[in-house]
Amino acid sequence: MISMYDGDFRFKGVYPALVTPFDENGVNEEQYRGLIDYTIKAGATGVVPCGTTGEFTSMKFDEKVEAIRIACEATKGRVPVLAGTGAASTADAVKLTRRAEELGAAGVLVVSPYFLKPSTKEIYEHFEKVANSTELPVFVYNIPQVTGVPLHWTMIDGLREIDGIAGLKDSSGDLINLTTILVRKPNEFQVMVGHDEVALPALASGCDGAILASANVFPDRYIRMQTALSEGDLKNARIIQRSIQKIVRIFVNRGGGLAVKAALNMIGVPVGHARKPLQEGDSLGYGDIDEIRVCLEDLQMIPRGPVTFKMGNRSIVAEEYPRAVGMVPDSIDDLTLLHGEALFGAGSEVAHIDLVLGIRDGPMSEALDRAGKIDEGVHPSNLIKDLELTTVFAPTVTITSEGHKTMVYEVAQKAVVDAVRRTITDRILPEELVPDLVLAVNAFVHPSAVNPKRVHINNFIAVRHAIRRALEGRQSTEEIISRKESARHPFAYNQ
Amino acid sequence: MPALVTPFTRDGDIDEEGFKQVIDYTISKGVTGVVPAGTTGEFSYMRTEERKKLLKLTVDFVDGRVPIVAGTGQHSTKATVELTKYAADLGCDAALVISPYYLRPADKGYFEHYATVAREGGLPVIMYNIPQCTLGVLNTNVVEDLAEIDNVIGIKDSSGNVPYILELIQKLNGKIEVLIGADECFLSAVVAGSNAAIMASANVIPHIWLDIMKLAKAGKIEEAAEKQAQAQTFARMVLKYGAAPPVKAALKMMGIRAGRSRMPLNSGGTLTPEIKDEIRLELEKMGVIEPKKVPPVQDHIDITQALTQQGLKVESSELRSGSASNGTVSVGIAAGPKTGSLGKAFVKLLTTPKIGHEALTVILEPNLPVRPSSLMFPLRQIRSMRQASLFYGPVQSGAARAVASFLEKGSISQDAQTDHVMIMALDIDLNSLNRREIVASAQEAVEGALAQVWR
Repeated sequence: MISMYDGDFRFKGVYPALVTPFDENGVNEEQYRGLIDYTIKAGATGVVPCGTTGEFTSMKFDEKVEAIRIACEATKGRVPVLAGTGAASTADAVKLTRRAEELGAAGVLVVSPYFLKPSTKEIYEHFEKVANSTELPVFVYNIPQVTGVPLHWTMIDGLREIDGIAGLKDSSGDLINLTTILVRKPNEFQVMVGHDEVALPALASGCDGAILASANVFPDRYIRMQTALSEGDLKNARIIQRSIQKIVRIFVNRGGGLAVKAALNMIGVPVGHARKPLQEGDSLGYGDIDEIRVCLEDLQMIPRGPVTFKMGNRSIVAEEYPRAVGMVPDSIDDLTLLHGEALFGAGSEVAHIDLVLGIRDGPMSEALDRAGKIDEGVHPSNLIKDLELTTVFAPTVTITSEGHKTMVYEVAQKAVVDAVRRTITDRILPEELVPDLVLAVNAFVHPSAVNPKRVHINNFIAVRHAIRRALEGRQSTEEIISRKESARHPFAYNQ
Repeated sequence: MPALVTPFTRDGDIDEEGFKQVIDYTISKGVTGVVPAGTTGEFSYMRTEERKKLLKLTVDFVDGRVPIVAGTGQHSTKATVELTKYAADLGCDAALVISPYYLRPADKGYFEHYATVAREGGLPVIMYNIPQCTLGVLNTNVVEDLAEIDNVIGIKDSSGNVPYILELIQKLNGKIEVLIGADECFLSAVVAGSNAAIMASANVIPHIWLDIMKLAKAGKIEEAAEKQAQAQTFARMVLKYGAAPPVKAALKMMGIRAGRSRMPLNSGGTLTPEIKDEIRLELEKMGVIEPKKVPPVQDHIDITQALTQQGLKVESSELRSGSASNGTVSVGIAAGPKTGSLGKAFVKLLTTPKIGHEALTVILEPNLPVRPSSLMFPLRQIRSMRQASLFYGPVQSGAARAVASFLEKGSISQDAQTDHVMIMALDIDLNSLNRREIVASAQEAVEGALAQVWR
């Protein structure tokens, strides 16, 4: 086994696959530099401009050059730049690789050619050509979920021996293929994991480091994971992976850079929006955005600060409100009647919540009027017992069986209780305001729902989101108008 | 030919009388043969002894009226040969043999399996490719080799993979028959040269498929395409929701004792109540069952009155209201300040939902409600999940788009967006089939009413 790269570059630690902040003129240099500074301060040992998370396919050639230039300048003397220079066509990949070399990149990351699916021979020659065009170490990049071109370990066996090919970034998440690559490679061939959800098993199996979308947000966690692994502390490494598993699942599966940008914006690292056709509310759903936010709250990355609740001439301040940047108003001016809606989950276990919240002596008093009473032809509503916040629960679905009844009045109702309590411990509802408020929650549970755990989780999440949306006035009127044509109601289509 | 369903009783036994009814119905509709113990017949849930009994029943009930193609495929070659011999002894006319699944062979294994069954089974063999269940594909070159063998007379392809079936038709070039098993592609396959079909939906609408075949063979492609389009939704639902459960549900709606499916397919998870209702409407559309009469939509909805009927008192003087109807959708709308009587009505409507008239938030899609806070409820009682999906689907979508277009035009002030609430009462034929049309009609009607509210 031989490797044909004999240079000095050694990949260490974790590099973020940088998102690319855009403005109307192209790359937003100020925000890009801000992001690079943030990631280095947070522990990144290098950066990758123009990766998949950087939306490289949505950038013009000159914009990619610009992004690589900024990255090289901004990191100068601090950490190396591994520039994404891959392209569907060989000529473009070669051209950008040369530019990256001139600009001072330490290496290049070259994605397998995609869309028009080349044969083994053509893939091989593509990488050979790129490697021959530069003195920089070339890293092969395998991400079949978007390229449609999986790089099998048998192919890596050969690519590895091309002069100048220094390593591989594997974002496939396919641990079978990756493990085979790792056990077959010589030491000098550097392999990085690129799939956030399997960072722990990949690093434990012998990857040299990681290039990750989520390393834009918390590179330090991966550094700590690697340190733990190198010390044989598997337990701690597992704890770290567990702490981020949910948020990285959203990042990886719900839009990549689009989702990472939403997270960065929330924690106060402004990076703007993804380029069309990627947009919030689409592959990254509104529910995902709210979940990213609560995950970041759990990771203590969302700034907390005061939000004033006003009732007539009284005001109460929630001092430690989790103020995800751009999502939370300074004050909630009118507590007469706030209205929120949320759907979460899919299939039979889906949760759909409508809720209203307001001061006790306003229209919300109506909710208490019939609670707990049986009226002919009406879904019975009830006041939930032993809950600090006065809460009325009513189903919006006709109960069809005993099992369905349990799912609604026990499972979903318990989820409401848990979500309300959580909202208070989230420090969203100030405790001194709680006695003055009434909440009414309408829940829909499908008659075919069978998995109580999932019904609970979905309803818990939906209630938590709906309360926040009611208070914070989401989605905005601008959002409603901009989605008027493209919104897709799931039941509005024929079978 | 129908891939006959196997009716099971509540206890899981074969319902012989029900099976006879299905056979008699399909023969009365002109089928050119029947296929017991196919995929739709739930063969995979039946032991060999039961399958033998089912074949025997088929022979008895058909009584020579049409040919019988017996489903005799098993996991192992030996068992397949034995069951095929049994079918031959009973007097079946051919065997439909599924490609072995779960423990799947490769090309050689498939070849030897079919060659052995053809040689030793004593019946003409129709191969059966259904990769969505078996997870294995009969490669066309294996099929070409098998076509050379005496007694291999056809292949049934249920993959729905049009390039694949075209490749079969081209390469086999009439040497053996290519039977279509994907209901949705029926006409396409017939036009391409297929002369026969074994399909799940042929339990229910064999006459329609026979008509299409006749029209296509007579060169009347447009008429054939029109008929296929009529049956397309039903065919799609049959395949999408597990074949046996929707076919059995359809037959039962027609008064044929098609019985139940076996566990784990019988719990209503594959075939949900709303899909069952969709099937009923499709059967009505195809003229297989009589449509139910429904009253026309109201031509004018007075929202104050509609709210009163729901037990909600509102002060008309506080409200801005409007109404509109276009024959498909009729709507009455009220808007008013949260602090007034409409705010109270809003809370009451949400917290004391009337069964079948539940009020839900007006949303463009889930997680995207409109402003001001708006509720909508149906005047006509919702009696099923399918009707609910129509009201809280296309009607909701159209209503939300109407509100969004008023927001876009700037007709609703910033203050009104936060200080007001809206309630809409709508009437619509809840059995409507064309959801796209309803979105448009609902949007038009709600815009008409909103124009009176937000002048």
